[in-house]
Amino acid sequence: MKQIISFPHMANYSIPIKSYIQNILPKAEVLLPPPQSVRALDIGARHSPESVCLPFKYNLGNYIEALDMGANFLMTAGGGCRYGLYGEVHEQILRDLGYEFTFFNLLGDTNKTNVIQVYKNLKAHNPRLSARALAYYSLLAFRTIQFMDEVDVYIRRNIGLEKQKSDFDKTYKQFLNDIQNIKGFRALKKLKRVYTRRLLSIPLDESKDVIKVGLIGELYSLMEPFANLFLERELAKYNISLTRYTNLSYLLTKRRRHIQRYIDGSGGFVKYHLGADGTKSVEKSISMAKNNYAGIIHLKAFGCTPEINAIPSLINVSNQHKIPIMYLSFDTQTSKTGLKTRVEAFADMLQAKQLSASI
Amino acid sequence: MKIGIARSFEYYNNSVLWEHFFLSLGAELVVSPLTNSAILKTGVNLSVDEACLPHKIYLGHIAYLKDKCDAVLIPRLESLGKGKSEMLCTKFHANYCATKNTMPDIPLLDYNIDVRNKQTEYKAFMDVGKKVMLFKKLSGSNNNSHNNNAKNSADKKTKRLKQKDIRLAYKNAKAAQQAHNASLTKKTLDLLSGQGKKILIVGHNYITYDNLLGSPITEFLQKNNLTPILANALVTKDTTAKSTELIKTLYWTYSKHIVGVVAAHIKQVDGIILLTAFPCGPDALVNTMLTLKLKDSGIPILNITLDEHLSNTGLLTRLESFVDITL
Repeated sequence: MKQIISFPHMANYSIPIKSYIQNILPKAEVLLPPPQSVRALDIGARHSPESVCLPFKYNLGNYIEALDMGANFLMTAGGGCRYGLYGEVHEQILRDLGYEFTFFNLLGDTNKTNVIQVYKNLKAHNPRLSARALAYYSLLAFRTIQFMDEVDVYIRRNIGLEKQKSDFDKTYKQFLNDIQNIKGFRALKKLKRVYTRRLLSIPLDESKDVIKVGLIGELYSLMEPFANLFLERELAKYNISLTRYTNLSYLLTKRRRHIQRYIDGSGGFVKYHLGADGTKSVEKSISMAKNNYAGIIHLKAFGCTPEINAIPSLINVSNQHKIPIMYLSFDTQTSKTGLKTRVEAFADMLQAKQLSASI
Repeated sequence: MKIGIARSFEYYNNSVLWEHFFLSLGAELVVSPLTNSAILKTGVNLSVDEACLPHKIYLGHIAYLKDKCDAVLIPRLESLGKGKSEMLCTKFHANYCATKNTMPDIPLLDYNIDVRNKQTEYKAFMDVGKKVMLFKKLSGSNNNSHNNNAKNSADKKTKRLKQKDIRLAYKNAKAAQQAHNASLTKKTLDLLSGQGKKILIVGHNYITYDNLLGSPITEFLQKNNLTPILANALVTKDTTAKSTELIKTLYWTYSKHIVGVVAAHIKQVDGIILLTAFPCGPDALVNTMLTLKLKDSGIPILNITLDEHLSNTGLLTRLESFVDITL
């Protein structure tokens, strides 16, 4: 039987990950679940434990939709906070629902993992995979993701300033389309050149008063636009230039190594690491306050323990550095209208503050 | 030195250890009372709304200790073993910082256990022991600050002695705690092999032993002639190793403890109560797994999630029907 591989969505990263899997497991077919939707969340939430965090529910919804479309080989990569146990519970729930499939945890069935183990795990499914090919395609995927993140950062910073509406959106759509066909480093280099030029040539309205706002918090709510109800798009309407540091390249590289740096930079509010991205949230909120950001928005999925841990520190940062922080918590019941009202009020407040400061 | 101890979280793992250790270093202990509704209310008012119930209770206990002692003891725990498979819930990582930032005016005495990063329990206790000794010295020198010169020369000699003292105190205290645990396990094993219907209560010990959370349930079972068996009392190395039979990739040490007990003793009990507090991160996944895995075992399972509103009526109705099933 032919392997039909599927994995859950996470922002637009499914595009490079899809080509990555196709490269290392060429005999299999990759089937992406339908785009993130209310339906996926509904299905996922129905079969999930009640008080588990939101990403679990989205992932389960994606899996079920993919299985219904004919996928028979599901992938996951565990690690960190609660995510490490997701795989096993997902598998158990899906088997209990009567689905038949192979479940493949990239990090293996135990918690003892390293690069060699990952290679062995993959080799079991593609005996012809050489270590060299794995290294090559891993690096290619990583570089592609890095470039995607760079583009994202630029757009996020400038989309509030575009002269002609949806200039950035159009370019980004084409970019996502082109990135699917990257086969090697040469093509990636060409793509980088083309899109750097195109993005820089989009006219910006420099006369507008920009408000700098930072986004901090839990990674899934930050990275998956559907999970935060397209918060970034909503904010762009108010001439807001956004910064967020959490993206996939950060998770793959800096996350573990920089813990001590984050503790040192947290101005005494954090003595011990808070778990997951909690410490980073505090450190970034301080550095943003020092860099004259007008406000900060803190995002998390309902019940996210590390971010709840960070909130007492963030409240103190907010008081001491006089920077407003808005706390948003997302779960299955969060309504878009409620979010809009809060964002509008927050943006109004920041604009009024800026106006009174300039007088 | 008066050390305040919150009757919550780590207290249920370390009460004997702390008592022996700090008393032998010449400190006094002030332990907060059994959890009551006043403590819960204070804790709820101090906490972030989404924090888990045990943490709210914990803050309540610490607020109670304010002004009653010189410092409140707060252990900070990240990992209790080497490798990735001995982690603790991030709530324990942040206990110290969350408390410090919520109530900055309470002096805290903290120690840090993170075995993965080479910060063992022994090191942590040496650390906290030194702090206690230093405090004693400082407060002692305040009283007779004029004749310090003679003291300084003797300091080096006593310093070595003190290290030895702390080491000995820790060793004895640890042995006392282990003896206490062993006798508790033995007592519970006797109950388990005794007569009558037995109900295994599966939950973290700061929930099952808590006066407000777990105790009403154990009392109710006893009143109905059932023997409540607390899973925490049965934890040994052998049982913990069995946790992989039920959940392969589990990496929270405390969850491994209780899952291991379920795996080891499931055949000896007549019913299981999965007791958790809203919104416990690890339990959300672990209890789901247990429910699914034990579905075909034929043993009745009751899932109870406690929250801060603690309405006993609803709880009693559910317990009554559960008792009817198991009898």
